[in-house]
Amino acid sequence: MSRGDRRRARGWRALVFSGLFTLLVIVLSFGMGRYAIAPGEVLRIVWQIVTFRFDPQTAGEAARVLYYIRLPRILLAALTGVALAGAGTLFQGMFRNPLVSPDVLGVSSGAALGAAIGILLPGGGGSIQVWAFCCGVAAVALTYGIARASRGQSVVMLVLAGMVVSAFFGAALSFLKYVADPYEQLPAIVFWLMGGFYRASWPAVGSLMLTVVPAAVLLLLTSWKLNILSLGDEQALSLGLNVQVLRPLLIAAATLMVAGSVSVAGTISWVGLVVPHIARMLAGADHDRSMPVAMLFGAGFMLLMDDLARSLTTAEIPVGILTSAIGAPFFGYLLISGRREAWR
Amino acid sequence: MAITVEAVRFGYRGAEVIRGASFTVPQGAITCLLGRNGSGKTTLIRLVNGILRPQAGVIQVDGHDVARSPRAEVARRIAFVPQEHQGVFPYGVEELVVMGRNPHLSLVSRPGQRDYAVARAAMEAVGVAHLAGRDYMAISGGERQLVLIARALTQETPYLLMDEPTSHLDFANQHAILAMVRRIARERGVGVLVAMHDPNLALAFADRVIMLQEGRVYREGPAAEVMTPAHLQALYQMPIDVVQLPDGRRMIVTDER
Amino acid sequence: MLLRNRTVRMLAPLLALLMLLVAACGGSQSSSTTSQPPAATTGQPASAPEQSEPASTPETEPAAEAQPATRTFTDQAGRTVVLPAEVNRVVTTWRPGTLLVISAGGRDKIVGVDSSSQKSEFLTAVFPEILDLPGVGNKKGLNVEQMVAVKPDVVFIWSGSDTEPVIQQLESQGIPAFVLIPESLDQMKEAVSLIGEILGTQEQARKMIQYYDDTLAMLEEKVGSIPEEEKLRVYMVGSSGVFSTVPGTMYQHFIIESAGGINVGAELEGGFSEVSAEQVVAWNPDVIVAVQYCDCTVDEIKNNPQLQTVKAVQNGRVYMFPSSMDPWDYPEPRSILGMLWLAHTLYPEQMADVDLLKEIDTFHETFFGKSFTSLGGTLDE
Repeated sequence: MSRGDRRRARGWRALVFSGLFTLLVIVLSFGMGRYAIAPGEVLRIVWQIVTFRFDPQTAGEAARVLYYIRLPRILLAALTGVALAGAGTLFQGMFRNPLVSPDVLGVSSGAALGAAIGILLPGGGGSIQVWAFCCGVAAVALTYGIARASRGQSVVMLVLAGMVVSAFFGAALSFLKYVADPYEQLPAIVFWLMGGFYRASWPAVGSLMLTVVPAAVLLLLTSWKLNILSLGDEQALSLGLNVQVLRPLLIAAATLMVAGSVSVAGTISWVGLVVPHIARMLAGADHDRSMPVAMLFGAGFMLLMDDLARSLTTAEIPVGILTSAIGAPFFGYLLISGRREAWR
Repeated sequence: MAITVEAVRFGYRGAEVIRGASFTVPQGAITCLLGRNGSGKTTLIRLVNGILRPQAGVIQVDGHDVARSPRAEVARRIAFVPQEHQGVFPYGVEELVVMGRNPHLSLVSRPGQRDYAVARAAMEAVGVAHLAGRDYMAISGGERQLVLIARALTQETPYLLMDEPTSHLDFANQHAILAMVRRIARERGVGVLVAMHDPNLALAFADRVIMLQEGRVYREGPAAEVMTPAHLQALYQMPIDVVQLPDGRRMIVTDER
Repeated sequence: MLLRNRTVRMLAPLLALLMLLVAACGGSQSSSTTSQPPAATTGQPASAPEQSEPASTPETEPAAEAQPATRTFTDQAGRTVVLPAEVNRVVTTWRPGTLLVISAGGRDKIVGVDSSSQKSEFLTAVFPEILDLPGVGNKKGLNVEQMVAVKPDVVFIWSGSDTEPVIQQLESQGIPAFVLIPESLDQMKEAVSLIGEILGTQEQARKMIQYYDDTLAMLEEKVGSIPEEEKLRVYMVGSSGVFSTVPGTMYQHFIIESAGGINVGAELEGGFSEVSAEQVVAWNPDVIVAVQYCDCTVDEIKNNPQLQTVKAVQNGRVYMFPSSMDPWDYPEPRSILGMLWLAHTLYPEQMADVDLLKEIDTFHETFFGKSFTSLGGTLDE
């Protein structure tokens, strides 16, 4: 086996590891929750659901709890993990900077503002999600527009424009927090922003699948091209990559994914920053390997964080707090242990 | 069958850098681009590569206008070898080299068996096959430059562009690299356009020379005709002598002591 | 083979640790499905013996429709809600809701309660059993599984954008959600009446509504009839400190007016509003009343150099709004006592024949089962 083959074998091993991990976490998550169900019963019901023999009309209470409450939540967390990790991997490669997060172009800041608007308006429930999504996408469009309008190195301009847009939307959000009623609206905004999956329902899962699945597929299909893109515009163009078309396409896909998940689950930080690093440490720098590993591992990691969020105390801890509280030291530990493969 | 540059003009924000340049880069030979800093060598390379579009004039590869062709098509004709550098991500040597197959792959495909075979063959030809599994950033500067050349070879193009490939390298590596490039040009019939900073290297390795002065072609033609003391003095604005050794080897020296 | 990767060797133990943590915490939370104190929990999930779901036969109907007779209501959000003829198991999801249900006579039917109620000094004093009930979360996040586990006939919930998913999830389990909006006095009376209907405690509910109506009528007679020019002007200190006050849109404004006072901040709008010291001096109120949660003290206000010219300060008429056990200025059942107190404080002559403390004690005994003084409550800060 040549040295090169050995590197590729490593990629496969990483994929297997991530897959096993995520599968284990999923199985674990099914068994967890305040409504007591015997493990054997859990497996029986899950089997029923997986083989399409589940019928909501005749299902017992335990089955309905699993189907309507736990399963949507598991799917929501997993999809969000896929979206954040995938977008993080994409942006770190595209911007040639291992320190960027999915929010580099302002999507989270935009979505947060949108959610605040939705909460302050007398509209109610569904509109918060729509507002968050639209404002998230609008923020990135604005960033892209500013970058295009200005001359100068594309990638650097995008990052700078992203900072500008994030700051602006952040200021607008602060203003809304200021004018919000401190008893109902302000806490609602604050808790929404901390992130949580307890709002999971099948419609939410459906809408998230609509945004995440096609985008994730695109990212996976073009993951090898990301290697080329990560060499910088000059080399990428010289290698025949149509950067002017591919970059906006990938940015759009990643933005859809992230806006979709933020609009349903609130802002969750660190996952999009840390998981790509872990994926590269596991699978190597080749994005053809690190992208699927990141998505797979991201799903399991997010799900694990959510499991912790709902089981550590009797009240729900917003999952965004946990991802930072655990993600940051976790990352620090990995760095200190000296694995320099994350980046140079 | 050549790269032809005709009456090309290019400028940034009103400052013209290339003021009407015309020349040819034939296959099977090394053409050196010589000139002082700021004469426009790098800009010219970028124009030939299609990264920049000429504001006047036309650049063609085997009859196809570079500025109007799709990127992938240009990349199947011209391969660009950048200066060796530190990247951001720790790709392995083989992973990096196989990226040269990109122009031959569709948007959603990744390299297959045949692509890896081409990559390996290129690495063998250049002499870096033993580095295949190594980290690109962990090898020496000379080895890195060779790897980048291997990547360009993997593109399987009739032409090669290089921008000062030797300026970061030590004396031995400079010669090794250029000797390798000459072999490639001879054995594969590849046409090479290389921007150089050292006229002595041009003297040793170039078949043709283009002297670029303030964005214009000052002289162009076979190396023996162009590399005369008079031309070199005019180009570099300093007293220059071309010294010949008994065995025919020549060297450029200046008057400074 | 996987272990050849150094990162895997580092990651795997960490992840395993986290997963064990999850399994341990997740498992120990199973609670029984009845409203009795849960059996001692072990590390196994689902060890509760009262598990009502047999492994093989599915139920034929969801719980809400198992009764032959059902009743249809309209909740305060305008939703049509179908409830069983007899409602004996109730879950409340926020403290005002819990207070309403208890005062309307539904204490014994509560099988699941919000965690903020379980932390309330007052509620744990009048209803110690509340600590043994399963907690369903709070406004920051409700745990629907826990609610399903206690098999309620109805879940009382507040009105807000964040309740939609919860209501949907409950409906998917066949559990009806009933929205209550007790934000004004009329709404509160309506809520109490509805709860009485639903729980079959109409008697108690009517008593409360009657008490309200009688008290308001009495106040109208005693202090409402005072001519406008003689009514006292009241500045109520709000939650953000001395220089915040109550606009005309808040419930506290209604309290002031019912007590025969004139709210100086009547023309403002919105929630608690910030005002400048100059504004307060310009208003020159006769009385200053501060809410319990204002983060200030009566002495601080009296000694504040910027307010020395204000009539209220000069005459020493600065008070703290009761009570020591929970603020009575919120839109909740005890707010009527706040009105009584305020009227009594503003117009001691007109209210001389009302024994304030006795009224308060009687109210508490009737609707909460224990007298105010026996609970250790005081009217001062």
